[in-house]
Amino acid sequence: MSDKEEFVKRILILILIALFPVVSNAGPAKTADEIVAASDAVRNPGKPFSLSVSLLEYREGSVQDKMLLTVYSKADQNSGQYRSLIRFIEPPRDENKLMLKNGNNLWFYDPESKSSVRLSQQQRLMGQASNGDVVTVNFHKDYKAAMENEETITDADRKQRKCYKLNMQSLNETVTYYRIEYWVDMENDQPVKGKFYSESERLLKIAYYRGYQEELGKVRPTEVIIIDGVDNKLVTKMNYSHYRFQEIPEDWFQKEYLPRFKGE
Amino acid sequence: MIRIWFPILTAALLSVMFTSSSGLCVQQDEDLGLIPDNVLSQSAEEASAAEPEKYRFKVYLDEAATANIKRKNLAVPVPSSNDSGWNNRLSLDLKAEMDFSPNLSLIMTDRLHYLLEENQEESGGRVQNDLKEVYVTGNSYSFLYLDIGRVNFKNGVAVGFNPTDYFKKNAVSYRISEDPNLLRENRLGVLMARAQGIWEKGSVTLAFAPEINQDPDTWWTDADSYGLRLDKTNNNNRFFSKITLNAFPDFNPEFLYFFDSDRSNFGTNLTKGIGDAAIIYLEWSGSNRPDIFAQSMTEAEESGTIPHNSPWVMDSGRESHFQNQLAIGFSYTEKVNRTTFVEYHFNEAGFSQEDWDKWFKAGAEARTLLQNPATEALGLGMLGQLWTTRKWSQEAQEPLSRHSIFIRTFWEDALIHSLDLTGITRINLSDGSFFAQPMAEYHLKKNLTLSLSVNLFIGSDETEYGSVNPMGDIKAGATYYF
Repeated sequence: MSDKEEFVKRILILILIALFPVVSNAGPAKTADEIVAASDAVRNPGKPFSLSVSLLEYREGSVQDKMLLTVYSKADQNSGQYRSLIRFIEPPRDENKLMLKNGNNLWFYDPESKSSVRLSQQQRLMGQASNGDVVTVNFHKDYKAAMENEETITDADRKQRKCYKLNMQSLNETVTYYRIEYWVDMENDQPVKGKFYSESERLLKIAYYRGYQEELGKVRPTEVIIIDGVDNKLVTKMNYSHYRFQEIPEDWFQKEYLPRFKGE
Repeated sequence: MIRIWFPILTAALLSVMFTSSSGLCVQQDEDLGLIPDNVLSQSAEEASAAEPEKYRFKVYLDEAATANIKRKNLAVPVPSSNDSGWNNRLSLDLKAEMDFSPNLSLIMTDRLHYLLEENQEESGGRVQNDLKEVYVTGNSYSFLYLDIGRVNFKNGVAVGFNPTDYFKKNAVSYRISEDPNLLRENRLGVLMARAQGIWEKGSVTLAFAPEINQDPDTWWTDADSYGLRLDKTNNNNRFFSKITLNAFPDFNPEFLYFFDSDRSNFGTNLTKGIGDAAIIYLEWSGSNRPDIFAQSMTEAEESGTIPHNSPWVMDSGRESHFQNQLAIGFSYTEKVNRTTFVEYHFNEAGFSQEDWDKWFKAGAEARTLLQNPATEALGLGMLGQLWTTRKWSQEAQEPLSRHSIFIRTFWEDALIHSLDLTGITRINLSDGSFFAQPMAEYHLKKNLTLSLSVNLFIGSDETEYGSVNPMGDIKAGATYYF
């Protein structure tokens, strides 16, 4: 074998070695959008459900505010996006106030004044947590994802997780965040971390997903820790509990129903 | 030569393998360091489960002490002026909901006031109870709802003036604030039967509110402490209908028809989101009606407040013609969570600048007549008419002036945590006078809120807001939630 033939042979072997990890992952690789959809399925049960949410707002490690909410969510059959009805439980001054998100319509109902006011996506009702943080959202319906690379990152429990790092660009202007950097565990599609940006590329929030446990037939995150991107001494902890599948009538997602809601 | 290149190519390929998409890079996550340890270690605060509750109650106590700022010179004197320098209000608010079955409930809201004013200390003040709502609500066929009783039924998408809020007239029993939000919390419901169907694509609402016998001094008309004042909220037979369409994404128009006193009203409510921070909205109503002065005089004659067939002090047409009411505006939310509503209000039946000139001219004539004992009664009668109109517009909750601007800004967690700031302004576009209300609320505890507000009516003597007494007040309050 000549030197030239030897060289070609070695190059071929190297190419095979280089391709080996890809080939060994038998079956078609998931696209970035499919990964986001799979991680959405980890966060959100496929059927209508309700859960309780507690929000604890910390400044420099001290609790400065607390809210309790109940969230009722059901996917729209046409758009696939979730609609959410949120009932405020605490603090007492906000008890029984309601927030409805149906598509781009966001309504706030105050039972004291019996009035419904339409809100913009930007308006926050829950301290530093945006409405978009609390309502159920299928990211893959609102964002176009691109694979950036694969990274091993440390999750909020200080464990190393091998993740896909995805860059998600919003598909419409009414979403809460313009762009998201999103880390999804390669093994189980669990979201690990997200960095959320405004249109001007300002970092708005960093979120860590943790407290994974079995809820409604799947291991799901029960805690999200949100670090404010501007004032990073401000941290919000959201805890999810009392998950349950629940039949939710369609009229619950109509503005006209809000005065009739009894908190079933 | 080849032997030299081989290791270099190998190194390059391996380097590509471990840095490109097929490889994994390890990132030291500095963001984690931003989370304090106790945030990670503190156990979760469990929210309550979403279990159905058969009985639901909400009770709070609201205290407000007000010091009035008197106006020294009034262009048009008030005939029966309340010259109190201060007042105090303590209110106990209760809301109760009871489920008799999954489809049948009783709703009741009540507010009990203890009111004390300067010069009333010896009498010990007075008690006033407002039974705001008491009605039975039932549901059948999953989409159909029926309500019977006293219902507080609010309509409209605007904030400062709601042309389509057809049951607002005479509904505020005690004017606790100039803030339209707070006024809505203190309003009496209307005795009615209401049916509503709610579907995925929209809803239909029908309501009938009967006229209640106007006999005075009965338990349902008594304006004293515990009377229901149904004569005020139900002084006519009224019919209401509304269709809401949810057929379009991000656009849910409402169309309304209201029949009152032989008069048909048509209305619409429209809202639309613009980007992620702004909402535009429009609320319109139109009906055949007389001008505001003629309407207030006619109703005052009917109720006996002013004598029948007495000459009106303002030249105002009694004839009805189609007149529009409009509130059009937008809301904008800034990144700091400060939301501002800006609205233009148009009330075609309201006062033009020419009407205001007539109002002040009649007031000046009445003032002259007061100087002479022989004509004093005539002067007082004229002032009675002039101020009846202003009171009417306040009770009807519609702007007295034809063109005005309303601005409301709400800033949550402003400057420091738990401090909410609200600013309200109404500007008369004809004379430039305005009302301003800055208000601060501080949530001292999760169930205790302290508040401080200032109301100011600013303008020269012969302007809408410059002719009001008192010229303002300072109010300190506290609300405790049980």
